[in-house]
Amino acid sequence: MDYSFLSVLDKLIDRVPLFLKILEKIESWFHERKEVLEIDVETLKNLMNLYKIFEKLKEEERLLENKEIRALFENAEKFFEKYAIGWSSKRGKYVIIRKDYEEFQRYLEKIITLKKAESKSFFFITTLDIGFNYEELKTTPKYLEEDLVQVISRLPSNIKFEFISLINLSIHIEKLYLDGRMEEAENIKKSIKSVYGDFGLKFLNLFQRKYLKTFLRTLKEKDPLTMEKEIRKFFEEDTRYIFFIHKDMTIDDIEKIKIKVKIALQNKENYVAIHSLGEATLIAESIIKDIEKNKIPEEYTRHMVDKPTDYKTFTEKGEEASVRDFSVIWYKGEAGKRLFGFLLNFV
Amino acid sequence: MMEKSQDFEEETFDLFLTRKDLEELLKKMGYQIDSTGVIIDSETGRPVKGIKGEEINIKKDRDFAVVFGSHIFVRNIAEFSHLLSEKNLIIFKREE
Repeated sequence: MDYSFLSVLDKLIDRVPLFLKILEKIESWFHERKEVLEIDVETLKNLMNLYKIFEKLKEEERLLENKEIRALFENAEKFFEKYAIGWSSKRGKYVIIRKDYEEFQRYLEKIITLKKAESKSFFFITTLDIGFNYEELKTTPKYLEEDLVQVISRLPSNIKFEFISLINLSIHIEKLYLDGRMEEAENIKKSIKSVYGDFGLKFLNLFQRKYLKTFLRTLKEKDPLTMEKEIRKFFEEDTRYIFFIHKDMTIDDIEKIKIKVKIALQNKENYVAIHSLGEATLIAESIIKDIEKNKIPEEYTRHMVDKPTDYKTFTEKGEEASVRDFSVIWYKGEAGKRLFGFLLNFV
Repeated sequence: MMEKSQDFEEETFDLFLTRKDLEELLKKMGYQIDSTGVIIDSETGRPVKGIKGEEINIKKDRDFAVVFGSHIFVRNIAEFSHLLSEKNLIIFKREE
């Protein structure tokens, strides 16, 4: 018996009444009066999820043999044929628009003629399954401490756009972790890797772990040339032996990290650290166990973190659980102490 | 949910379309999609590229978007963030 198939079927059947109710409600509102309907984030998320299910059902025809799921599929098909979804800058709201609304048709024609021409307003078009994530990134305010805002505004021009973009993404991902939206965070991390490579992920991890934030503060009084030099040193030298363990790492990746850490400790590098979160903590624990089979040079101070974070995750049953942090740091000398201070958020 | 209809004039919408609708709109805008999924600009006959210079393939770059104001394609959210940065549209608010 195909248990995963049955589990998908069961979960989906449970959600059918909710989705049908939402579609019915929207339909009745439109029937009463309007061509444009403002909706809240929750309704948008439900429609986004319904769209994802709708697309999956097109590929999994087997599921359509079930009467309730077929009804949902057909209703969703009609709905998506009839309505478009988006964000109105003027209203500051998510909206549903009747596709056959004349004004909307004119609006689309206007977009078509905009090709290659400069338009004054900044707006985008994407698919329904990702639109909300784009919109959140575009419209959610990003908060940073005053001194960091000042440092960022003075970054050297050759790295400025990249750094500002990565800080923007780092703050956004932090929010997703705090909201328990791990899957969306992971998806954005993949896009960071594809655009900025390993540097992008390192940036994100160092920012999340406070190293980067605290380091940037030390640049407050520096001129652009010194800033650039110190930034390069920070990424290429100081943080070379900080490792972030990910749950999808291959055995080969893990073995490489073990070797690098062992060599770094043998060579008495100033700062060696292994950080992990959530599911990756089990991998990190096994790495540490293996490394500490060998004697660690006595110059090092060892610091271990093993505690829940403010990040949330949800179990398969939908119960909220906190994400665990497991980190081990070995540091020595003034340079090591300085980096350890960055982790603890003091300069 | 809230009901409200205002004048459509002067409104600007970010649109979240179905894949089918987005592809149709792209075609109306003068783009073609080849058999491998690459978006081709019919005017130039060349593939359209994201801001980091890579071709956009609708089969691989499932999260792509078209951004107006400069009429540019982005492959994913990270490229979108980069574009926002280049356009000076990322504003950090001061935390107390």
